[in-house]
Amino acid sequence: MDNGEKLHDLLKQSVQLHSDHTALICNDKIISYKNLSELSCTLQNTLSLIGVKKGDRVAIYSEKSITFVASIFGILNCDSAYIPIDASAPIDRNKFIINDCEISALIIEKKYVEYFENEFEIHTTFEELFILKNKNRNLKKSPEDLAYILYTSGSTGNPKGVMYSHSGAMSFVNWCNSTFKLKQSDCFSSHAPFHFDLSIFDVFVCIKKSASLVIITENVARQPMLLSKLISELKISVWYSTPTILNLILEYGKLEKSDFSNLKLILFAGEVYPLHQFLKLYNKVPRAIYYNLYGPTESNVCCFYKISNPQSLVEHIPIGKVCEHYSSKIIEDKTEGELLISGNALMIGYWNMDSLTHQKIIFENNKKWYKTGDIVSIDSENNYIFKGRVDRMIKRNGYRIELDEIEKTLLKQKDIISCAVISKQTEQNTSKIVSYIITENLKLNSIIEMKSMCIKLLPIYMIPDDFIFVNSLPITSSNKIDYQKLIKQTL
Amino acid sequence: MTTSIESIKERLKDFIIKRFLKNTESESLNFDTPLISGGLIDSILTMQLVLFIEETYNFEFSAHEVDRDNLDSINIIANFIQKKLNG
Repeated sequence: MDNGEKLHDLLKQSVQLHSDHTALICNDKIISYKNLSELSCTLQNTLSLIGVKKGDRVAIYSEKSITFVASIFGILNCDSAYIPIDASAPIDRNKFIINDCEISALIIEKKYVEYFENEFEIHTTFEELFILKNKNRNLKKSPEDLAYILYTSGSTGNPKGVMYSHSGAMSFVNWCNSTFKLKQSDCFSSHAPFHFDLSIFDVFVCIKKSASLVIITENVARQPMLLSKLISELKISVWYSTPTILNLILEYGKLEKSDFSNLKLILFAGEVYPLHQFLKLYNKVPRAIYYNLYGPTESNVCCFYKISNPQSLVEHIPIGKVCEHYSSKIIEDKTEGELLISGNALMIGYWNMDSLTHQKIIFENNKKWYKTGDIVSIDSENNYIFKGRVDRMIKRNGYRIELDEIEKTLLKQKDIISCAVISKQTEQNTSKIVSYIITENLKLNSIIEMKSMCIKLLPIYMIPDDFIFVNSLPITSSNKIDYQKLIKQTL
Repeated sequence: MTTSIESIKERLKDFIIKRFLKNTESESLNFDTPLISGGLIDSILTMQLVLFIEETYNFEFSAHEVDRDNLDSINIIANFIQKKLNG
């Protein structure tokens, strides 16, 4: 039920109940609920002084840290929305986002300040970060109740902003609270970056429970040995990540040196977890309770499956049944087809992209339905099974990637005459991105050169795994690139 | 086992070309080519490289040593290996 509760109320409640309890742990720093709340109030006051007000948006451009989380709450306290920026992504992509979402202030690491000095003036500092104020004060007002905007890959070649309301996010937080057995004594992991929607669970569900959150920074997040050490030494009890990361820990984390006995709840989402890989994890950590969570950024988690009897599963792990705060159906009531989701917890829409919002959210019988683009079928126990996509979006390590964003970005480079980007399933059941390239610049004719070009243009998870240099691309009878043919001919 | 720094570099180059570059591009890969920061190897390939080094040179990485600072180019890795071997 929407009782008007806001995400930042969760911190206020926890401070009253457990002010001295550890809220956040990050590398060698620890902060209590009381101090976290004070820090966020300090930022709130600073932001208010520079004119940040209700209906504004403020971006945070930084690596993960305690200050980052304090900033989230400071911004929300101003009745503004926060926009987390992927500090590891190329500067031009981030500049696009910052320009697109018309923020009134920017909280940013020192090393990035120079890129924004034309549009922003430096106001002051907040802990190790800088606060910049937008010189332009003629900014759009946010939709009512906006809490955050998460940018994801866009098929137009630019990222798109998914707008989420407090009431939508609170429905999710409350659903988690009633579905999983969580306690104040739990220690949560925050593995996902804050621009990724898995972080909504980590931050807000943890703080609702007044539990402790271990912030895993970017330099540790992909190092399996450090991750298993962290789980073991900090006695993490609630873990949420993509299957890719769980697998990385399992394969390379030297588990024999670690103690995972405190892990009691393991949630995964963002991509398909191949059953044989999951069973390996289950055998190593058999006492944990496992859930497969499903949902695009536009709805956050909307379907879930508790894996009660792993040995009985055949072929795949279902994405399960719809969560209580949502309803679902398959398009045109078929037994296999595109999954539609309805409920108050859906996104508000895409920022500045009304026509795309209307394309993806349709009205039927007075209900708003979000077209997920995911094709599902139903098994004998009425669980949804993920089958594939209706379009050219893929998932890699939980990240959504529009192949068209890669293609359009590459086509903007003067040396690239034409290109076609496809994805192909590998034997290990992961998707490999392959880019076919036509170029006359012989120097570019190398995987090393292409990758070093891409790293300046695309977030690292979007960089193709392989480049194939060709003189022409196959076309269909309607004169479009014949992607199917390319997929077939790709090894 | 020969462990001159040059032989370490050649051995690493050979592994990287065979495993990560489909056996092509021996000319474009040099000892300074950035491997991680250049987007050539992701976290899984980095771990495969670590396992290869551990098995070939018979020492173990401690958790914090699996880092870009020790692994970003053939030159950097070779220096790291030599330091480990010389204790």
